[in-house]
Amino acid sequence: MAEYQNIFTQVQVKGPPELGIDERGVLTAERTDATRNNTLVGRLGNAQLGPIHLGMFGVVSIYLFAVWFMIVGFGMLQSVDYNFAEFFQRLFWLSLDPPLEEHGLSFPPLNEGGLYMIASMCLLLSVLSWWVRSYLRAHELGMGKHICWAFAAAIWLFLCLGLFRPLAMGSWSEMVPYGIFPHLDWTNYFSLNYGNLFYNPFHALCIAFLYGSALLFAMHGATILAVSRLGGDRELEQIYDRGTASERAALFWRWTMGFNASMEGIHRWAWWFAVLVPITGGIGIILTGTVVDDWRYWAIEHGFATEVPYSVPESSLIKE
Amino acid sequence: MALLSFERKYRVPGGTLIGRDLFDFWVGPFYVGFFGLMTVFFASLGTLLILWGAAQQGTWNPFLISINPPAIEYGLSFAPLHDGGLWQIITICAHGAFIAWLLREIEICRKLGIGFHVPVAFGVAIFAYTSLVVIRPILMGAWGHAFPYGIFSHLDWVSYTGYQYGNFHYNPVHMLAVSLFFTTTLALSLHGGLILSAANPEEGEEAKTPDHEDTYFRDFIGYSIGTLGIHRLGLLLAVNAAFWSAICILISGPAWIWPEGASWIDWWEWWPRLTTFSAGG
Amino acid sequence: MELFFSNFDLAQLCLYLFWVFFIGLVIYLQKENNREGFPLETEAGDMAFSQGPYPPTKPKTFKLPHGRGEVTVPNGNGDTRKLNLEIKNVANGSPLYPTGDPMDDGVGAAAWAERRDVPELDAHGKPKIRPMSDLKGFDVSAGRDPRGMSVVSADRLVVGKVKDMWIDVPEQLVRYLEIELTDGSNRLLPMPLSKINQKSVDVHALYGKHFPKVPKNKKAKEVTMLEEEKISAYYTGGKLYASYDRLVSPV
Repeated sequence: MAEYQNIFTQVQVKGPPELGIDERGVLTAERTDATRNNTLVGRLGNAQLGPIHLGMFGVVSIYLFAVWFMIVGFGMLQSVDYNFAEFFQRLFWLSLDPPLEEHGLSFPPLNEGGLYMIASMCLLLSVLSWWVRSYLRAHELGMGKHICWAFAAAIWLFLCLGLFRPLAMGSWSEMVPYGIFPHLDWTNYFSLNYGNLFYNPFHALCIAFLYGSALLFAMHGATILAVSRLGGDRELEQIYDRGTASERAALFWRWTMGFNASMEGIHRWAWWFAVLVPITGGIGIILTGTVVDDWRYWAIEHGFATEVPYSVPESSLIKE
Repeated sequence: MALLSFERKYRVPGGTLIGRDLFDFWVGPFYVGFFGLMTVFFASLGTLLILWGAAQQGTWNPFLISINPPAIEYGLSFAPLHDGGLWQIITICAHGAFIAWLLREIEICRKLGIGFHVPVAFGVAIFAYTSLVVIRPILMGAWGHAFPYGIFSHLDWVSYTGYQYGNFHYNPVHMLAVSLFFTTTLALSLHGGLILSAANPEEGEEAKTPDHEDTYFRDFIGYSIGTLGIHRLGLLLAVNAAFWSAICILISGPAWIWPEGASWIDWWEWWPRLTTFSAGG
Repeated sequence: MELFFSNFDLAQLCLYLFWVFFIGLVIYLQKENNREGFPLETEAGDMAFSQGPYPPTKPKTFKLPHGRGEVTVPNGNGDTRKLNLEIKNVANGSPLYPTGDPMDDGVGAAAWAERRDVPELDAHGKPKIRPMSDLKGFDVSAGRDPRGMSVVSADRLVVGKVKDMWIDVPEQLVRYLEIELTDGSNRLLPMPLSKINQKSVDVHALYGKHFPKVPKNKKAKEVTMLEEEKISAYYTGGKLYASYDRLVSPV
């Protein structure tokens, strides 16, 4: 007899739309009133789409993001002489580029990076505005600020790449171009220019936390689904009143690897692992080109790299 | 030995796949089982062989120890011990240890009566490992294409392998995998943050409910996936990140897909070629 | 200068500072996770000599809404009920053997925790899980509607029919199917343990003979958290105890 694994919902129910908690009666006015039911989405999660809160910071953020988007688009169009066919064809290769190196930290002419700087200012203000939104939405519900602090960690990386490091290097040309392939080329060039970023210990830590986050979410998602038959996905109430779901989830891991988390604690592990990705990444970026010029050389100096890197081996027996 | 305060009622016999009650016991907090012994055997053997290899190499610096696969010239045969054979035996031990670990997890799930989602997810991770050290080398005709077992040497392998294809960032499946990894991290921070923000509200507030969780996300981005949905999403994102990472490297190398020397940058030319007429050349 | 600082630089300092931070973080995280399950016990149920390598965690308190009081963790509350298990082998790490029927006694894979005997509430203070027949405005929007279908146990016996679905109201999710057994009485069946086919609902967890012994909820239209524990634990216990071949390996 085949068993159900609780990956997709077997039967969906729909009731009156959930319009959101409003304990003080001030939030409903700022929310949209339309909700939709999407049963395809409902196979995996909630089917209800909406309502959304439209506040000052949200609207400002979306507006500034749209401005950034349009400026980048215009920059790209300009680079193909406003030929729409070529724009469409070469879209992934196009970009709005940062200023040239010779301009240092001054504001460059519009077509030598000035437009890029204006777009970047819009993006920065948009992101910061969205961050304030993430704070206020929690504050008005009386909830903790954990999501907003996680977002702040991501903004740290964003600022390291786009503000702190260019300032430290004395040139806006260090910023990342806005373009699909060009930002990948920038990444590749960055590593080649600074002696192979794999040897940057903070790059290594960043990747360890990235893979660790995937590991943790696979572990946590799978564990909760495994105990969903005991109501394990109702995590908050399990935190306040421990049930057999939390007990078995903990014991699975205790018996497997010798130690375990609790229903609340696993979310702390999760939060920190995810947040350490951009934090260590930002540190690694800031140290590159400023403190350390060549990471491989740095690694050799500090005793954790060999003079000759590994490459696909030739046999010791087969010699010329 | 010390049990958690709620553990005693779960410490019963049963659920084993092999051995009935012969190995059905715990050592400290660890469940043993037949596969516990198997995993300890292979892990110890593999570790000792790594240490022996390190002694042969002449270094104890953990960052510099490297057990290297055989030379390409040996093809898919068993190589001499000092010329890659050690790597091969260690790889067999690794598989033994990982598969035994997975089967032990299954025994633990059976004893607890819970679903098998964790061992299945772990199976995908083992697949990713096996695809790099077994499947892809076989498809390319030599064990030497696998990665060395060394902290920085394996990164040299990644860098070296990536550059064989121009700029590996351009591998479309690599792009998918990277996006999945970043999305998994984003989702993890949001899920962890949401639960913590509800259970640890502002000073003086009462502890919050799932209704508050849904309200926060609906206010914030217009959609809340829900308490069950987020765990399905997290598992699916994470497992797919691992799976497509394995695929992106499996398709890079075999001569009949995308051989070494062929640049992934060139793969994208299909689009400009397709749209050449509209752009006028 | 060179002799004193050698090749120590800012990057290395940052790395060492990070390690110090990270070790402190791991200790903090594990201590936070030790709010449940302490103090550690022996197999016999007495407090263990070794309480693990971490110092005890300072307690914190949750203020529960709707007049449900406060919960402090860690709180040292272990199981208070008598567990029908016996020690057959004094060696540490040996399993404890159920003395009766583990599914009836709530031990092993059928174990349940002593949660509060009140229903879980939504944000408005109303019970979260309620029968669909008792709710206005709820309909099936997708998938197969199991109401009216036969319920089939793992040994392919028809044990009853699906009478109703119990919904998590704020999350709009089916949590339980309500079965009317052949003897006329009702039981709840956790949704994750039911597989809805074209014309029937399969329940792999239990054999036909177990269904009359599934714990019942006291009120017809309400289920408390303790009742949910006992009900879902009974079905889950069947995954290990329903038949001999589930419990004992062939080799």
